[in-house]
Amino acid sequence: MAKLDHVGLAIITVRAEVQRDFEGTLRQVAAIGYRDVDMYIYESNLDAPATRAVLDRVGLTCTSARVRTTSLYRGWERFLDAANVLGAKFITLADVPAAERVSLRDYHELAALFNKCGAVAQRHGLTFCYHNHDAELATMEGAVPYDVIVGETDPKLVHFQMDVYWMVHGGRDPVHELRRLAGRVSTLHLKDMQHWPRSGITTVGSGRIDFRDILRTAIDTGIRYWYVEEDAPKGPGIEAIRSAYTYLHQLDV
Amino acid sequence: MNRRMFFGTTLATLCSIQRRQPATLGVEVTAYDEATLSALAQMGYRDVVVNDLYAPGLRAGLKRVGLVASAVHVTTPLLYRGIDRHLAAATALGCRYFVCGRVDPEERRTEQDWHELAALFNRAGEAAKKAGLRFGYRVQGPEIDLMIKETDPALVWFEGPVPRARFFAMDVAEGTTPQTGVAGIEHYYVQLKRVR
Repeated sequence: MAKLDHVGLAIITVRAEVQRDFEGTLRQVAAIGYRDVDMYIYESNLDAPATRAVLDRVGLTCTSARVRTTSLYRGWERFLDAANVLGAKFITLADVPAAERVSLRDYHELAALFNKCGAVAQRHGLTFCYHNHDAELATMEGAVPYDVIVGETDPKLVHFQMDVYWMVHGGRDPVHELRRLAGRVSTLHLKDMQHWPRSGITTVGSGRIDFRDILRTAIDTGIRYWYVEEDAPKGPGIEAIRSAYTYLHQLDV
Repeated sequence: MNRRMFFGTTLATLCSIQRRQPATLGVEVTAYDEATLSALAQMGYRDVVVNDLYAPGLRAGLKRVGLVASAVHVTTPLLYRGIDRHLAAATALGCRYFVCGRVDPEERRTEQDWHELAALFNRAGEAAKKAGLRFGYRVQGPEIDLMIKETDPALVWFEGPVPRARFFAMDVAEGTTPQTGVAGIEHYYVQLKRVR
């Protein structure tokens, strides 16, 4: 057994703080002990070189650059260039809004789009990742959209950022899924599930998800990047990420 | 002034517009439960612009309370993929206008983005025309000059706070002096975000 050699953070967890003070917040994140982050390319109003300069000053690395679906349709290469300026390894689609996935046909089309975007990303030295929620784990027209995406995307071009909370919320076992998709899951989002009410989101380490098993399996399957994430912390985001870091840092995996 | 008072008094004040020109006074709706729709209908509104084309039960809910969705606001991804399906859904909802209601800041970081968006809107306008709808763009700022210049007048209309050429709709906010006689304005929409 060993300790994690690093813990990453999804900057969305401290978005309120970032909007008030981008550099100051990132400095606090680094001071807690986080070393790498998953963040939208344009998380602040700075351009990519200026954002990179801030990251360098505070001692953080952006390993995963997040994008919205809008980026996939127009200017994709410009987003990839910006992600490279940030120093990212992964370019991660954070979400597919509900209006863009009203039928199973949408998921078939999205899988084809992900393949195209993944191929261009690969040429730019980046790995395209798709971040799951629970909606795509619910059966639609006799199929499970998540499985459609897994089945119809090229394993060499499209990888996954597994959100372990949404996996559990959608009725799947993250450990089983990590083994099933070994080699295709590149990064993890870590947030916890409340004991009661059972579906609520809570800070990593304060809920009922077994992160030790998940992280052991992740490491066994070659995953090296995991990010603490909490969509809407009940208190200050900085306190939530401090608590999550303390928990993960002492965990034997 | 709360929302209910604002909607009611605005409606009363601006009814004069309808006496002066053939335009409708509507309201932007972002909650689609029957209580909200029913309350708006009871105030006297008949025309709404909706922000969720696929809100469950929306069509039936509007019909039950006697409201008509003259326009729907959509995001840009719906213009790139499956636009014919989305136009069909807007038609089924009873809309006359299919409107790009928002362009995210990261989609419009440079002037090149606006040029590309103008081309996108021309394509969307053509698809909308074939489907029997009009395509609209909700103006966000000074890009209006570029949009007027680079979009086809036969394919792209506009809505926003200050009426200009090719505007089919304008916003109504608290304290607005009703502007009448603006050529082409068919709808006045009370904007929720402007209500304190």
